[in-house]
Amino acid sequence: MIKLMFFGRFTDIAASRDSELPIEISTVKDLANWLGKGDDPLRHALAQKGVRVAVNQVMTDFDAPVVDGDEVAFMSALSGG
Amino acid sequence: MEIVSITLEPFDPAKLTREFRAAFPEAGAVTNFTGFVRGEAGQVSALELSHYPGMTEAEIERVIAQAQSRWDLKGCHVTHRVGKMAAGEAIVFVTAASAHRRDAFEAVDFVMDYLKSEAPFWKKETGQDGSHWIEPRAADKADLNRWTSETRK
Repeated sequence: MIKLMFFGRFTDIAASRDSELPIEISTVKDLANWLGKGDDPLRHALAQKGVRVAVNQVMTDFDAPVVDGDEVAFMSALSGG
Repeated sequence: MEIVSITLEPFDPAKLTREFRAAFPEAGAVTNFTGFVRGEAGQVSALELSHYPGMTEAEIERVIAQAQSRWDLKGCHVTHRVGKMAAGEAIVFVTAASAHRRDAFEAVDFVMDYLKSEAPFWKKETGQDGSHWIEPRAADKADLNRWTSETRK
């Protein structure tokens, strides 16, 4: 089980939730591709400029590994304070 | 006083100024910056700010630590508002204390430039023409780049 979180524009189209991690997923990129399958708005949003990702609350990139128990956050371009 | 405070409630910059000063009575210089929600004339708009609880605080603390290693500071503090807010309300307060003015001035400027373009916040503005997400202006990015292109200290 992983904890999926969405921030910014993503909150308009996806809900934060716990999700079973399919066995073939080993990176953030795999996870993003899997989430975008059959979900056009989400696939489109994930491809936007400025999208950031964090694993276990640390900013990282789409090549980062994902394992069971992780918290993975997809964030649209940061607005700043 | 915590180093970073993120609050859903309105805050009083004058009260924070007094509290911070009381925590560093030996400092010769204390500077602060307060940002307010801009009021656009004739427009009814609401601003809603969201953050990533836990991570946003940790990221701001990381930048404060950078400021502390770059300038000679006695202390530094950030209060940031989240949730729905109205024009004229304080949204961010940054303060720094040092022995001499230059360190405190520059540290606050540096932390603000980070907050305006790289901090994990998302802003949604609702006006007469509906809601839209706000992203940093090119000028905010340019401000942040000032600190990486500088060669001094």
